[in-house]
Amino acid sequence: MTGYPERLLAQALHLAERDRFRPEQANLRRAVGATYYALFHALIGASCAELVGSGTNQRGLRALPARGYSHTEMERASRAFAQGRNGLPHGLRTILGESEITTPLRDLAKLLQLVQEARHKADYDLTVGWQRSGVIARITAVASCLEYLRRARTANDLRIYLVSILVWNRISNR
Amino acid sequence: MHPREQPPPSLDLAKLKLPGKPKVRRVVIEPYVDHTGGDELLVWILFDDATTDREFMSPGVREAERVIMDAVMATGDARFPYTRLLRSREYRRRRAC
Repeated sequence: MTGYPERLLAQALHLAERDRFRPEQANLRRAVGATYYALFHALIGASCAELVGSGTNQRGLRALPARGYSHTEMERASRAFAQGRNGLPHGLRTILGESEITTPLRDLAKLLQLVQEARHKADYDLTVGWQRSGVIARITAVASCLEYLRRARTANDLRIYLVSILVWNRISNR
Repeated sequence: MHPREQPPPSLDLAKLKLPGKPKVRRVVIEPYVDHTGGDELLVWILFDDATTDREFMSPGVREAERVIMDAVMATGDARFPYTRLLRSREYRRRRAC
């Protein structure tokens, strides 16, 4: 665990497990936020590497598109991919060929929506109490997705998803 | 009919291929408005009270969530099923508040 997303996840787990008996709501809320941003930054990193290349000599160039991602656009793309092949616009189905969206990618797309919503609730809705159980379940799920992103970088459906989260608003009607 | 007035779908847990452990005791589905203002669903996945924190980190929890989310989506309801994972007693405590 060395990258920024992994460090955020480690921070989230530290906060979630910090209080032995009755977790502080402030710690759980910050853990939820760190969990979301771990996934958010992991996706942006993987997407930029897909678009620009992953070599160290392209680090500066990768930083250029990295500021162009929007939470809403990533959520909309994820909503479509979570539904599987039939949720995608015609153009993307053509690129995908005959294949289906794989289960790990659908899980990732669903998880992005879940943790984004949770992050929003955790930061803005103080009427909702958080339990450690649910928070650590999300941290674990994001850790699995980070592993999937490392392992399946060459998978066709994942590559299409990683490009789509940057340009979804421009391609979703085509 | 406005999406908020649509009755939420119901699931028969006995018909789902849920992992044996951790044990899902109950699923509660209700209408929900998400942070974007969209009309969606909130799915409470309630595990056995004996489920430990460590078990909440197990693949069984993710598998149970996947099976339940897919089952809700397969009902044809277009609303996204946001899930909350917790123990039955934690849910009861929340409701009591």
